Amino acid sequence: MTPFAGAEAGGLSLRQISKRFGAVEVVNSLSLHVRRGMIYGLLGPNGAGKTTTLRMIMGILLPDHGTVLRDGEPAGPMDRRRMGYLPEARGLYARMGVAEQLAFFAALRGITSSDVRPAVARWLDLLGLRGLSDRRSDELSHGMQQLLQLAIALIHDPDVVILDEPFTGLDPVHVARVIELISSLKDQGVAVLLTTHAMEQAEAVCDHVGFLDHGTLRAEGTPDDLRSRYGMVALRVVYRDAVPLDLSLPDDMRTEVQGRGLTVEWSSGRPPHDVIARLDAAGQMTEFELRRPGLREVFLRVVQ
Amino acid sequence: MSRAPWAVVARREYVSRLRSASFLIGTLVGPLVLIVASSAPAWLGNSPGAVAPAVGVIDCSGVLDGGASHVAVDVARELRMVHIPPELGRDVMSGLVADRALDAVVMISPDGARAELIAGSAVDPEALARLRGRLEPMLYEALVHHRATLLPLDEEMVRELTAPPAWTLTTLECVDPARAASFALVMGMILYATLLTYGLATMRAVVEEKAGGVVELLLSSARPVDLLAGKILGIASIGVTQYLMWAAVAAVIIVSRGSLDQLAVPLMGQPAGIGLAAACIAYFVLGYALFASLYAVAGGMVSSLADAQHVHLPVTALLIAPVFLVWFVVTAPESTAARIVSQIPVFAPMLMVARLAMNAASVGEVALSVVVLSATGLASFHLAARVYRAGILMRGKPATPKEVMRWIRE
Repeated sequence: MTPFAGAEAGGLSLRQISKRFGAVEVVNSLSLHVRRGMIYGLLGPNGAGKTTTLRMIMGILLPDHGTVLRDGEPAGPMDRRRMGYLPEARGLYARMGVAEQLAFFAALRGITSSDVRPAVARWLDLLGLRGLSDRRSDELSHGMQQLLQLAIALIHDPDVVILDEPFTGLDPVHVARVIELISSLKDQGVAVLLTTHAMEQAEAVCDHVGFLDHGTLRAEGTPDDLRSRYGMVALRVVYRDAVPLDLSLPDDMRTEVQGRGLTVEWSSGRPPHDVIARLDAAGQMTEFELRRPGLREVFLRVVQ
Repeated sequence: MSRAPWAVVARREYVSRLRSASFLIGTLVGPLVLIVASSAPAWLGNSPGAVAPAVGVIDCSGVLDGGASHVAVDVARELRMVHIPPELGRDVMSGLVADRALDAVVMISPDGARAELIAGSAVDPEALARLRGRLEPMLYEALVHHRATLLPLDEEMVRELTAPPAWTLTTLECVDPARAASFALVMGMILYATLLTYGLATMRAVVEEKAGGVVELLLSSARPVDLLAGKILGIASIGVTQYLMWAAVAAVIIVSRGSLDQLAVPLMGQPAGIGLAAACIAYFVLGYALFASLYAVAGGMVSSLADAQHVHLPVTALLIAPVFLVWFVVTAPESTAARIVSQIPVFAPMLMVARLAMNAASVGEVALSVVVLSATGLASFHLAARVYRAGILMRGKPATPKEVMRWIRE
């Protein structure tokens, strides 16, 4: 299936976009599709081209080649005005009040004058900022500022949302709040594309993941799909006596013996019950622990 | 109905500046500084400590007895009259003038038929001419009276025979060149000060949004050209608001000019009227559009206010140049050179307003300069929008002229 096959279903599509800064190809013929109701995590190391990709989506940078599509059509300025965007470079008007700031960006995003006030009130309540509505933004804590920026990105009820590192610098309480907020967007049928270094959060919130490295999409799919394709399952067993010498394991499995303990790793494509049965037949096991691969491990395997 | 992005940005720029303390201070203090600066020379000249020229009077005829005091009062603001005994003689008096003990001496012969005025070169010739103009009729009347007593004539007959024709004096308003030049300078300086203030404000706004990181959020909501247009319009509106407030205050001062004459003269001494005020605002808007665009280019080239201090100097130099030229223009406002330099777009706002304040610019000249200035402002805006777009995410060292040229071409 091509990345654009779902474009008719709505959402955001990138069609072979590329960007070069001088001699460096920052993004190289990148294609992906984020359908409505999907939370797509674009993961990659520093300098992978994630932020440049998001800036091209938002029209802040122009791609050298390729097209950004919204609902199957090339995205113009008006389409982008309707998208929600949390940039990596956080910034607010320092001396502007919270409510005033929300109202300004709401109007800038095209909310009608009569709808601005209710929208501001709704988001102040939603984020628990009602008591701080007149507070200058430079008087807010870092976490509160980030929540305010998220509200600015979402105040106009966009159907496509772009979030660049939404969890950076947040404490666990605020992280949980942001995850809750992003998850609620999925329920509303919003197409969400986010970048992050935080694999745990990506695992918690994303239902589709792409690994970007040196501007190229190395792999993408659901987290389970990526685990099965690139992850290593690890099984640790402890025998009552010594580890049996003849385990009859396939050659592609890695083993490591530590006293009476044995760790076996294999590609996650093979079902674990077959391996457990072989190890059990070789000797009497007293305990075993099965560890499924995390996105971090998958990510490292893909980019390395 | 939703508002256009440029209108939203313009409103924010306008409201946030309107509420700032700097706007209030600038609106109140700006004209006061200009009024005080322009009034200072006149005030210093008229202050009690200033010494008026001393004029010695040797009246051998005695014809001025009882009359000279009126003369002294009439010209007291300009000259100090000192009565001197006739015994001292002409040579002594000339020596006193040469030594600057006296600035001038008036000597009247014993028969009142001749008068001599000996003046030092430092005395204002116009003041001496006025003194002579006052003394002449007095001497004439005294002489008639004296001669009538020597002849068998009735004094009334003599008076009828020598009666001068009846004159009617009609005073017409006309431009006082010195005052007009002073007024033109003030108007030109107001243009300079406001263009510099609001031009720099535009550059600061661009740089602060870049440095503060909010610009990326803005760029995701509106096109760079809308953001720049909104910023320039919003700040221009604040400038126009300030002008209107100053015009309102000036109107109040003119209305109550009787009591506030001293204050009003330096600023509104000419029959300026609404036309000049409108021209002033129009040239401010057009000049601001041009310079704000150029300052926005400077802001787009840097990522911190510290770097901006160096980058904006070429633009500020273009703004300062007419400050020097305006001195030349007010001395010869209708010369060919003045006509030419006042058509150069970066000079036009200051110089054309100065010439208008002196009533020395034709409608055709004004129309031409407005067209040229508008076209240049529009071209500068398009150029600024390209630099703004390309440079707005730039970090680190300021862009080089070569990079800026590449941004403009791309």
